[in-house]
Amino acid sequence: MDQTIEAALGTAARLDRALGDPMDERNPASFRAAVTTDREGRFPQHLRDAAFSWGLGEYLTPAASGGRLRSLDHCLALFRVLARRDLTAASVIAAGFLAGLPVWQRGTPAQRQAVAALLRRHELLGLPLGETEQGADGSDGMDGADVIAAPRTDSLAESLAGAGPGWSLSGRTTLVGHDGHAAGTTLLARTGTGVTAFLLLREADRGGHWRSDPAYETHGLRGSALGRLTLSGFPAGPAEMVGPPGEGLETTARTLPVARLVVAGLALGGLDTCLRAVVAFTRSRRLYGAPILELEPVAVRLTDVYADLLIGEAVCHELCRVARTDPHRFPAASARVGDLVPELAGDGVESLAIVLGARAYCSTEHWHGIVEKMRRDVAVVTALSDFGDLPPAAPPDELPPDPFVLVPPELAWLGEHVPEGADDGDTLARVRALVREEGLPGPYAPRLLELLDRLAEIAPPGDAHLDAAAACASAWLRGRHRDDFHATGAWLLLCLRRIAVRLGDPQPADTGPRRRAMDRVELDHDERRLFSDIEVPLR
Amino acid sequence: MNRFPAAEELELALGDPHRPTGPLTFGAAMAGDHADRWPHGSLDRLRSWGYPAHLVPASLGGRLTSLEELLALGRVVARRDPTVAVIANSPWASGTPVWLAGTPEQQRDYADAVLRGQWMSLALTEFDKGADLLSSDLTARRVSGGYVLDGAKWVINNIRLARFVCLLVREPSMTGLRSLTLLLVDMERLPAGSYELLPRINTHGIRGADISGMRFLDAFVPSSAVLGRPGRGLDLTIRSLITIRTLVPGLSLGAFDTGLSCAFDALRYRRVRQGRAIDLPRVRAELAAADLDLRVAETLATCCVRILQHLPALAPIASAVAKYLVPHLAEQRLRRLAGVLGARYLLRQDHWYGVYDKLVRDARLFSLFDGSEPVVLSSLAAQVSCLTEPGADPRATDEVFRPSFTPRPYPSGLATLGTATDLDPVIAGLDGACAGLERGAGSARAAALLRQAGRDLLADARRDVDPRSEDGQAVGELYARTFAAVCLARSEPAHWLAAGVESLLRPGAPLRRETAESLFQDLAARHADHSALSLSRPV
Repeated sequence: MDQTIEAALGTAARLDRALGDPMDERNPASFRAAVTTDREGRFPQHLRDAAFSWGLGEYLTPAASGGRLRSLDHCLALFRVLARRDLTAASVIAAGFLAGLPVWQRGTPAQRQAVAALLRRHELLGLPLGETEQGADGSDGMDGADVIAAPRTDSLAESLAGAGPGWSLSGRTTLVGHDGHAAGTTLLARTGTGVTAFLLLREADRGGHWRSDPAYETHGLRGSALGRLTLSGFPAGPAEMVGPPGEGLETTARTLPVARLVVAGLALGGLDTCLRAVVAFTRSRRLYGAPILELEPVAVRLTDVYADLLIGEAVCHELCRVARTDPHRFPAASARVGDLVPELAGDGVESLAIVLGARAYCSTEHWHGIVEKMRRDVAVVTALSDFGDLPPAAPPDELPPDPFVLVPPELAWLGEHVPEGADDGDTLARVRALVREEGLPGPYAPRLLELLDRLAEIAPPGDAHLDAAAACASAWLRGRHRDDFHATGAWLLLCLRRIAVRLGDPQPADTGPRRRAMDRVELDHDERRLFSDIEVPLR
Repeated sequence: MNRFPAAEELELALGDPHRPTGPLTFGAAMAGDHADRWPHGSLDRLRSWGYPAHLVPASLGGRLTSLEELLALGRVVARRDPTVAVIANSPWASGTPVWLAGTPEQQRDYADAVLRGQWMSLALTEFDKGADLLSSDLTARRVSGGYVLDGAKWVINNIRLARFVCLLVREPSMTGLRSLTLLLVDMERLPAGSYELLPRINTHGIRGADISGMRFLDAFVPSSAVLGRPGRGLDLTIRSLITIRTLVPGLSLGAFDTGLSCAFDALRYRRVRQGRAIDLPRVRAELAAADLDLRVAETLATCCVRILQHLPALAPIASAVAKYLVPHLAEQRLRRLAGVLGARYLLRQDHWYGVYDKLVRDARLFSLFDGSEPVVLSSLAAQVSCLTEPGADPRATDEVFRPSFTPRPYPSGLATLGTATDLDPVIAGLDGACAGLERGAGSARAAALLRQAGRDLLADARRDVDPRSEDGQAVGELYARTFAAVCLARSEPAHWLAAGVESLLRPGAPLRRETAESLFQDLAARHADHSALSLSRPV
């Protein structure tokens, strides 16, 4: 058991309960409200307000700055339960969190206080999404500003001649933020000697230097409204600089590993709701005289998606654990495996939509059409970690040094630092040895050993699926005494066989573990729990 | 010589889809989609061009003789707006029972109405009944001189606007497979007060279409409304669906054409790091793989339409293969390309009026209606055992694979449609297709894969497979992919055929680098030449 993860999910469960029943049509945090606001292109303000009223702002503020954020596990869990309601609201809040990361990582105490104060007032920073300006008009883009895979890079503010260290920032960018009314932003500006990161607060504008133009309309995440920000001589000095001058690219690049994790959490939340909606549908919908859940292909789809969700969760939790215990490894681990989770979620939602059939396509049908909204949103939420580059991201050895151990006192919110030597090593080998030496109750040990050997054969070195398999193995090792599903190895078998199938290797049906998984899916559904390896009660 | 002069003429007549306004432009498509608006302007433009005549067999006063040309016409329209294409082609599709089994008077009345530009409906489905047509609740009691109808149909295109409705009803006095009858209901003769139109159903894609339902309240229709013979409605419905399923791929191809072209154009302008996105190997590989799938889908759609007219006894198989694979390939590729587009995919007002997202949403419908993926795969699995029957002659399909193909005028020759055959001359030609591949340079791997697929399929044919099981779904998919691969291998030689066979039989496997680059260069050349992304394209 990982107490930090469990504590984080416990906090998330409290947020979910505070938001009320998503099936209650009168609830402004309901699925119906999510679909309605989306169709009308409005931002789900009510959900944001409800989350902040509960105290979300505190959990987005590091403890060192007076908040309650102590680990990435909390970010992951909170964004996951928010996203299960409405990916639009969750994404905008997540974008605001990501925009603040450079400040928590490299900002001055005054800057941190300023951002903390914003969050206390339930305000958010906008996240620059630079590349939208270029290409639309067929131009070749802005020279030099698009040289790095980060959202702020070509968000462009040109430095002006200023006396001493002062600048006047001009340029235009696109902000992910509510209706173009972001309370501020962190962006990059070319400062002559290089590119420098700045924290700009809208309230500091005294002379019309900050202008929000009408937002872009978007397809997915319709209500999130990408706003266009134009700076015209916005004054900035050392007080606005985040990190040393000329190191802006390094500063913002350091947010990328966290961004991947946050996006993964959002995708998991969306997938949770889709699975929940489809399970309910398959139990009530009858075909040929029986619930369609009893049709084998339907049950197989559901258990495959459940396995994908468990794999995605294991990957995310492992990343959080690495960030806590071995921060130097975090950027590389995030780069290798972070993009796999949205991919798993996207495939899962697509598969579920086939089960719903026409119901998914009608926007007023089953659960008000939330599945189709999630389907669209999950497909585009990855844009939050799309920093103007295209995957695969920079190779791990090109990533900047890990940000989380440079100044430990300021970054205590990332959690306890475990001494060196705590690395698990080859987790899959540990599982193999354990199963061989100790065996497992029940019939699955031989099959599990066969699968472990097979994975080693079929997965190309460095493939993200190997990391995912190791993450599942790690989760299983920590929780294998939890219940019969885990103790027999059925849980791990379910996940590993799914990984093998995703690697293109056909696998036997493994009906036993699948049946157990289906029982678990129905139990989680009936007990109103998050689809998770850990029991998380929901509303 | 252009095989489809009418399609070419239509393409030219409709003009540039990039114009800011006007019928059948991307701008109009997006405006209509945003407002859930029936596309009056675009449909009027098609009517003034003479589109309705192409939906009516020449023997009844129209210009329709070749379904391959109808496929091309639908594709031309779907490239600009799949919503318009669905509506515009619906009078033909709704009338398939009339074309196949109507009396001369029914055919004349229906054809005249289509030629006048009136709308029609095919009403088969009911709420909560899905593919289980035999459980229909809409009943038709026999009374003197006709029937009295009670019950409702649901999710029916155009039903609120229709002049004629082909309506599937259940006769309570009959049981089993002979309990269903198809009626041609003339809405102008239906007594007022004997029916009610149900509210319009909002959908996530094809948003401009008028989809709703209809409830009959002791509605009288005369005996002369029966299509075919009483009690043979299921058989006629199946024959009609076989025809429709074969033509649906044209709409998928149109959406796929524009989606690929749009993505190519967007990525051509997009800057990443210090270059163009389109210069990244991964992006080139994705575009090349999409182009390959488009060519595969196009070839398959063409073969299957030809089979429908030339070998209608094989059409139950061919239509299921086309209906499964073509929409599937289009949908999957559009989704993958959305991932490559990244943040740009979010924007509604951006590149090409933001039409990409609409294409993704609209294309999803094509795998749903008139036979969802699980339904058509089950139907294929049910036929697999026939592959063990001796006597299938591959030469029967020679005509289908010739570059020039002249069918008998539609709908003559379709009388045998739906009469299940135990012989599959396409699969029977597998060995010859492999030998043909082996004669080509660099095609040995494709040939080996195809031979193996044939062996696997034959092994499946000898097993007892439940078509509705997960195993049955897998067998159905293998049948579809093998059938398609043989079609490809026997088609007109092209440099990409072997790669196409491999991609069908090893879905998801990356293309070889030289193949990808070759396909990409070809795509780029066609894009630069402003030619349509199609083999049998109208210019």
